[in-house]
Amino acid sequence: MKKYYLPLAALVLIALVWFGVLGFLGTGNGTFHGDEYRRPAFDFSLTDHRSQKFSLSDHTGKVILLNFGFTNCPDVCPTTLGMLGEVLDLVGDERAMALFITVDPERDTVSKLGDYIPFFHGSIVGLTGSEQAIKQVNDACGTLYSKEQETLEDDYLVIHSPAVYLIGPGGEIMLRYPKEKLDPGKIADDVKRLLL
Amino acid sequence: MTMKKTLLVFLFFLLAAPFARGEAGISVKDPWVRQNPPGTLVTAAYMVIENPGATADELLSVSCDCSAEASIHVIEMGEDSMVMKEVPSIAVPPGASVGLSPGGSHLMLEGLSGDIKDNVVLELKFRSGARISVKAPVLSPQAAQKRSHHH
Ligand SMILES: [Cu+2]
Repeated sequence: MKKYYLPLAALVLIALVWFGVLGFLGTGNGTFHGDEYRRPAFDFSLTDHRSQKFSLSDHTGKVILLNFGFTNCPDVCPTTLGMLGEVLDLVGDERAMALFITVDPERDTVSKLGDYIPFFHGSIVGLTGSEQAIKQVNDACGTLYSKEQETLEDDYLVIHSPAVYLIGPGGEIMLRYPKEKLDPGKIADDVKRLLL
Repeated sequence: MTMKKTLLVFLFFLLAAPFARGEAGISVKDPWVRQNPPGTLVTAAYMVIENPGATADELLSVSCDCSAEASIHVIEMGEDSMVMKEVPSIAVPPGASVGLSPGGSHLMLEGLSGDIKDNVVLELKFRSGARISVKAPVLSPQAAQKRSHHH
């Protein structure tokens, strides 16, 4: 009977290690607070709120939080921008970046964004560009936007996704935070983990 | 204080109470307004409306000393989008409280008279006839974030 103990103990040990490793890998992928949203690396070039050219590929190695909106938005966009400002403060690392891409380039000019963006946080980058360039970024993120015509010609809203997208250090879209997951503490955790 | 004085003070509060809180017992708690970002003339106001009474009430209209227009908005979520919709009223059922909060139902203020700061005054009219006037602090994005963690 005694001679079976050693192989049995070894087997149990191997099983424990094996499941331990699996378990670790499993939670390793599962502990992001955002929804997994694998989309291939992409690039875009837009103009930032300080009139500088901004290309995503110039920021490889950073963790980037991307959000769409427009400055005439009274509730959702300012809420998200305030939240992103808090994320940047919580992370406190220059390799973390937050971008606000307008879906209303017609009205949201560089100077308009220049007034608007720094109000929320000194490090958030506001971006505008041609209708086509902005649509390409939306396509890459798999999201849509459309103008909602109001009675007054100049007083329209733009329907868009309230989600925040996380672009990993390699330039690929990794995570998506739908509206109900826009929690600054949790997003900051994910960003910190990716910057380790 | 003499008996007469005490009685007068008591009477004053008794008479003043309905005007301060609205006849239906409906009340507004924790009002605040989002500071408008530079270059914009639109923002939103938030609060909790409480109806401790036994009868249903309804918020019918709003006005603000800071804006030309004020309207009641709800948010409708699509699959990947959200849309604000103006609604004619918001129901406040008996014994219930209704929260107006960022990313949800809100009072939209359009045509601001300029950059708002410190406090604004909002006036709410209810189906019951109650009119409530509240002073709402104007909060910066940072102050609004801090506030969201306490509520
Ligand atoms: Cu609204």
